[in-house]
Order: sequence, then structure tokens, then C-alpha cells
Amino acid sequence: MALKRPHSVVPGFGLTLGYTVSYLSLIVLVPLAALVVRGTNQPWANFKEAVFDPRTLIAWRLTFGTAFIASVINAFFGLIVAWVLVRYEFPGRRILDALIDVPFALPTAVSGIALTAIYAQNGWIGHWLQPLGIKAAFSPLGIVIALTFIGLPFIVRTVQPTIEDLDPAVEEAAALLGAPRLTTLRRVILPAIRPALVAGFVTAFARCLGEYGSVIFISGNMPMKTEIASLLIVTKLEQFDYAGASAIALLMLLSSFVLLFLVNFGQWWSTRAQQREA
Amino acid sequence: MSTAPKYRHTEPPGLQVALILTAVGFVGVLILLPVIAVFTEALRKGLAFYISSITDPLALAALRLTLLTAAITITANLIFGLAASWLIAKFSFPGKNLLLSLIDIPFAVSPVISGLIFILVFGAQGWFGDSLASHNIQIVFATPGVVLATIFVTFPFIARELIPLMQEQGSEEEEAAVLLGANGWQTFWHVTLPNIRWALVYGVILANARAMGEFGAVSVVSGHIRGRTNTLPLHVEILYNEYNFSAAFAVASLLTLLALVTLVAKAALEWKIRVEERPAITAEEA
Amino acid sequence: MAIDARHVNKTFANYQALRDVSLRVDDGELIALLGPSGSGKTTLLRIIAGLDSPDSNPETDVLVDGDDISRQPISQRKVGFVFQHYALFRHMTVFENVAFGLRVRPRKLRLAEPALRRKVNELLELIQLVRWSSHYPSQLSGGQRQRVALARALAIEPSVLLLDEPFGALDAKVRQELRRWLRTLHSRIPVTSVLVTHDQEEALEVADRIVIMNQGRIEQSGTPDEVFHHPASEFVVTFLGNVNLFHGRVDSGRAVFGDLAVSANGAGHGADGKPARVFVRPHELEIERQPRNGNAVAANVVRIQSAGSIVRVELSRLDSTTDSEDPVSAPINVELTHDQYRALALTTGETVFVKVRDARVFVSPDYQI
Repeated sequence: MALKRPHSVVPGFGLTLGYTVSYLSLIVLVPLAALVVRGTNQPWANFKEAVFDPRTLIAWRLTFGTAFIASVINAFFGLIVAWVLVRYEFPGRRILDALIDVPFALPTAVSGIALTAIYAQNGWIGHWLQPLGIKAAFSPLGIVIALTFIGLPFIVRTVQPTIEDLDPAVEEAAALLGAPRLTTLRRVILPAIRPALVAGFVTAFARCLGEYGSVIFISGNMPMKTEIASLLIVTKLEQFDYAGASAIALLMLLSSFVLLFLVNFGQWWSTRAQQREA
Repeated sequence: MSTAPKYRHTEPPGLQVALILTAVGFVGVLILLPVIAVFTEALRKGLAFYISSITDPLALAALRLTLLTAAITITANLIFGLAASWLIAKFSFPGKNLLLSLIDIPFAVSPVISGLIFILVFGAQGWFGDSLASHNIQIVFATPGVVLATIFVTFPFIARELIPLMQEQGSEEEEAAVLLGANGWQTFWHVTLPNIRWALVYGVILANARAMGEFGAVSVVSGHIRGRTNTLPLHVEILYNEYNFSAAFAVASLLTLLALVTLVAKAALEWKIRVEERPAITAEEA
Repeated sequence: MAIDARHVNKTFANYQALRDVSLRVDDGELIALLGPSGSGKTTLLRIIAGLDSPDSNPETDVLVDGDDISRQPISQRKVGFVFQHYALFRHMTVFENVAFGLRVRPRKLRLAEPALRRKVNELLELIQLVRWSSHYPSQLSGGQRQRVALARALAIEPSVLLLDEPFGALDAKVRQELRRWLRTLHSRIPVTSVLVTHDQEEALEVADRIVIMNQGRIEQSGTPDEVFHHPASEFVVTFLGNVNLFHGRVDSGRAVFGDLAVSANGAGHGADGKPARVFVRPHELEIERQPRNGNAVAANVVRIQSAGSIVRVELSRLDSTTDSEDPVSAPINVELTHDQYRALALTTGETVFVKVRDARVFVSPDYQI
């Protein structure tokens, strides 16, 4: 079907279509194509070596592991924060709400050095942890802390609207039927929020996988110990190992796309399920 | 942000307090503390040092590059955002969903990869590397590269604000304008633009915050050439790596102030958009 | 500026919205396109406006004042269009909304500012909203907004005025007021107008001529009187107003159903024995306590309902069903004026007699092999 004429009397179809497609091609499609080509246009052995090299494997494990832990922490606390913001009135609620967006707005380099300053041995929190034998900065724990900082808004802002849309009548019905409050929370409210919580978790997780700026300061970047995958890509680039960098980048991109596809699919599926029920 | 309805059945007060304290404590330690730390560390060596750090020539050069990049990026992305949202909201055509997914891509791409891909295209060993070199054009490790990478990272912001709004507003006003004899530009300027102006400003503010603060992508593409290809965030990194902590935080405090101003503007505009631009349902139409 | 649409077809994806529709509107006429949803009336209107285009076909023609409008760019067509949901420019004042069509004209054709203001103010006076000229649409009621939309459309002195269910979004009372007001307006500014509506009362009250549409075809085109009293098809008679349906058979030029018989409008002897469908409007039935000159059927009063200016009586017939194919329980609905009702002093449960004063008969078509 050729795009002969727009399906509307409003002018500007050709112009906007042409501009949009050109812009997207130049800025998005061509560069991404270059990545795919560069990454796959190498002997399979080289690709395997770049991706399964011990140093790379440790970086993968570290990246996925810390992202997962951070996202779990955010799922738990993020849920509480979202609930508190929607359901309760207390002094400072608006400020709390505004603070949630700080990790969105703050440049990652700034959060990186700020977090390092706090959790280093002589930092505000670091110097309390030291006698306990806990090393926050320059360890995987530091990475988890940084990723928790980055990921919190994703969970809170995804779950908040769902909590706002909860029908108070359902909770009242449960109470009238004799359910104690905690039971209602567990069996009525939580299942209703779960899809949004999962979606938020996956989105935060995908974001944490690729994080760079806020992590590289607090992690110490020690190869085989606290080196994350995105840093590895940069290192390979500086060594002009474009093929190796592309290989790792491709895998990281693939995981992000798969995760985001899962989120979208999950939402589509649960909307379908709701429609079937209705 | 909506006002919470009155909930008659709610958690026992003890639990409520516990939850509130947990939330406040968590957010306070995790988020508020670092923000405060930026300013404390920045002023650690006194106000004079602070001022000299932010007026240092290299810092000023970084500031200039950051502002220039942001200006170019915002302009380019603004035009794109308007074109894309007009296209998607006013017309129906096959492939619309594909277009929407493409626009969302930068959100799924790690900053480092966002920089890498431009090196792969425009770098010395990239696709256009040879032809660029023969014309003596330098894109990566120079300002154009920084701008391109920043454009990639920020272009969804404005489009994503405008598209749902314009879809919600529909095309009837534009159709009416055309029937009354207006041409495309008249329709856009007099009818559409006034209806989306606050969402536009909102998108610009978000995009700007991201453009000025982008680190990972720019770090990869810039080559860290001091005085020439360093943006403000990169300058922070350099100072930090030289153990010049207070100076680093001083420069960082500028970026933090920008972030805080962005948040305030964002909150104000959210309210404004809700009041003015989301079409209200009158009692008759309900 | 007459409208002449010939042999218009329109297909969307997998269904046909208009099937070979031809419509002529004379200069200065106000016609109503009336029909249920999906009948194609809005599609036809939009094609006349140029907002959609008909399926291409050598016989298809849409002419306004003799010109093939599909050849002209939309902005030059001088078509006045009024949308169901007003489509007022929400960020412009009432004055600027009405002035818009005048302001966007190319420089050569544009009025000088004082002349423009004068013209807009004239229109604002016409719609009686001069005091609201600096207000914004959101500050106006629905009825006021629609008046502004009309003034805006009239400002460009259109050749035709097209209204797409203009009062559909308004309260019943406001709808009635605006209906009357539109009629008055049209007598002052007799622009050729086409009004799309699904409200039969509106069509009957406002239009010079009604075009009834169903499933993409025109069922009948005529004055309100014609379509109401001389419906051309069963669809028209059932669509316009309430009606009682009786099944019977043709016998010697009459349609016989139960104890009743009416003239079968010229059906010849060849139609004898054919099934006939008899449509009688509730106000065309009379109730008598004694059958005065035969041709009345006994019936039981089941329900009496006072409904505003009339009284509705529901009865169930008591005649034998040998000649009738209606189940005995099928109710007869009669409308009486309050005076008639009081004169009869009916109570539920009584037996009375129902007489047919007027009816429309449709005989099933002959199938000739």
C-alpha cells in the first residue's frame, strides 16, 4: 500500500513524514546499524572471546547481579514510598514527592561523586560502616547503592499511578466482609499493584544494566572485581578494540530490548486478560 | 499528582507512622544526603575557592560547550518533536507503532553505547571515517560529535510529551481551521501551538536538563580534550580524577542547581498542563 | 449555490458506507439527512464538505454551484462546517474565533481591520453574543458555543452550510431552542444548508425537505409532511415516530387482519392472498365504547400512561386470530389527547373497541420466476 495521500484533510503529511523519517534514520537507525554490523562482522571466535573472556564474564555477573539486587531493594522500598505518597498526608509530603525525581534530573557524574563522598571510608556514612567491617565505596556494595539511587524513580513513578487508580470501594468491601487490614493489603491490594510493580522492576533493572556515570566513581573500577560491563566497553574503545567493544555492546543492547519487550508484552497481556474478564 | 480521596478503612496508625518513617528515612538517606553533600563538599575550602573554581577558564570553556550543545540539541529536537507529533497525531498510516517504538529507543540504550555508535559511524575507523578525513572534517573527538551524541540521548523527551497530548486533543480544531481557509502554517501557528505550549515548555525543560547533564555518551565521544571538547560533567570528572575534590564539587554544584531548578519548573508546569491543556469534559458532554 | 451529488459510493476498509447515492439540494434549501447510526449520513456530509472523497468512478460527481469541488483545495472551497463538538479554537476569544476565517485570507482578499471588525460584530449581534465577545469558549455554555461555531462558519460567506449533528451534545431544552433559532437564522441568511441528525423531531421541525437514509441508501426524500404521512417504505414508517404493526392478508383490494380491514391502496386482484403489513400510528387509532360502523376490534385496556401532553393507552386485542398472524398478546398502542381520554373515562381492565382511522399498507413483493 503506497502512502499516496494522507487520511486527513489536515496538511503537512509529506513534510512531517519526510523530516521525521530522515531524522530518525540519521540519528538512530544508521548508528545502530553500524553497531550491529561491527559487532557481527567479525570471526565468531573473536566474538566469543570478547564476550566470554573471564574478565568480561565477571563484569557481566557483577553488572547483572548488582542490578538485580538494587532493583529488588527498590521494589520493596519503592512500593512503601509510593504507598506513603499516595495514601497518607504528612508534613513534607510534597518535598518527598519532588525528591523522587532527583535521580532523573541530576547528571550521573554529579551523583557519582556525591555518593562516593558519602560512602567512602571517611564519608558521612562510610565512617560509621568502617568499624563494622563494611566497605561501601570501592566494592560491589557501592555499586548496589549507586544503582539503587538511579533506579528508585522508575519503580515509584510506575507504581504510583496504579495505587492512585485503586478503587476504594473494593477495600471497603473487604473490610465489611470482615477482613483485617493486613489481610486486605496482602490479598486484595498487593495483587492489584503487582503488574505495575513488576513492570517498574524490569524497567529499573534494564536501566541499571547500562548505567555508567554514577557507578564508575564509587566502584573503584578494579578489573575482575568491581568493573561493570559498560566500563569494559569504554576500556576496549580506548584500546581501539572496536570489534570487542561492539560485541559486548550488542549483547547489552539485546538484553535491554528483551527486557523492555517483556514489559510491553506483559502490559498488553494483562490488559487483554482484564478485557476478557470484563 | 492527584489528591488522595478519603479512605475510611486504612492501616492502623502505628503501621502508618512506621511506613512513613521508613519512606522518609530511605529517601532522605539515599537521595537527599547526596544532594546536600554536593554543596557541603563544594564549600569545604571556603567561598573564595568556590568562586575561583567555577570561574576558572577551563570551567568556563566547559560551560560554554555545555550551553552551546544544549542550545543546538534543544532546537533540533524541538523541530523533530513538533514534526513527529503532528505526523502521529493528525494522520493515520501503516507503521505508526513502529515509528513510536523507534522514538523510544534511546531510553533503552546505555549512555556508553549511545556514544559508541557515533564513533562507529563517524570515527576514524568508522563508516564515514575516510570521507570525513579527506574533507578534513572532525566529528568525533570534537564538538559535532558531542552534539550528535547528546541529540541521540535527548530527542525522545520532547516528542514523548507532545504525542499523547496532541492525540488526546484530536484534529477537529485543525480541520475547522482548514475549512475556514487557513493553510498549513497558519493552522499550526494559530491553532495547534497555543494548545500545546505548556507541554512543549515541559518537554524542553526535561530535555535541557538531560542535555546539559549527559555524561556517559559524551564521555565516550568527546576524547576529553581539555578546553575544547569537555562539557561541564566531563570537567567534573577530570577535576575529581586529579583529586581536586572541592573544585569538582564546586562545578558539580552548578549542575545540581540546574537540576533543582528543573524540578521546580517541572512541578509547576505539570499543574499548568493539567489545568489548561487536557480537554475538560463539560457537564453536558458527560 | 445548489449542491448536486450524483452516484456517490464510499467504501471503508471492509464495509460500504454509501451505495450509489444521488442527492440534489436547491439553492437556499435547508435539508436534513436523517437516519440511524451507520446509515451513511455523516459520510455523505463529509464528502460534500471535501473532508473525505468518494470512491472514484466515472459516474460520480459532486458539484457545488456547478463546480466540481474535488478539484479545489479545501481552503478555497468556502464550505461552512459546524462540528458536533463545536471545534472552537479554545485559546481564542469568541471574537477571534468568528474572525478567524476572515483573518487567514490571502492578503489581496483580506478585509481592512475596521471592516473586519464591523462584520464580526454584525454576526455576534445575529447570534446575540456581543457581550461575550472577549470571553473564551470554556466560559460559555454548550448552546452558546454552538452559536459561535455557526457564526464562525457564516463569517466566510460560504456557498453551503453543513452541520454535523450540531445539537447532539446539548440538553433537550437547549436543543429545542437552538432548533427554532436555526430556522429563524436560515430565513434571514438563506444559505443552502444540509443538516445531519438522528433526531427525527429535529428534522421534522427544522428542514424544508428530509432525506431519510438507511444502510448507505436514500430511502425517501420529501417534505416533513410527505415522509410522515406518505412513507415510501417500511423503514421510513418505522423510523419516524411510533407505529403499530399488524400482519394480515390482501383480499379484494383490502388488507384484512383479524376483525379489521383497511383499503390496500390499489393492490389489484393479483395480490389477493399475499401477506400484507399494515402500519398504523398510535394517534391514528380511535377508541370507542360501542362499535359505531363496524370495522372495529374488541380489546382489553391493559395500561394507561399519562405522558406529558398525551395519554398512552396499551390494549390487547380480543378478536379471533384466524385471519391474523399476530399473536393475540401483541399490544396495540393508542395515543389520545387529554380531552379524548377524559371523554372516554377509561379504566384498566375494561373492554372497549379500537378503530383504525388511517393506515399504510405494504404488500410483500411478488416473486415472479
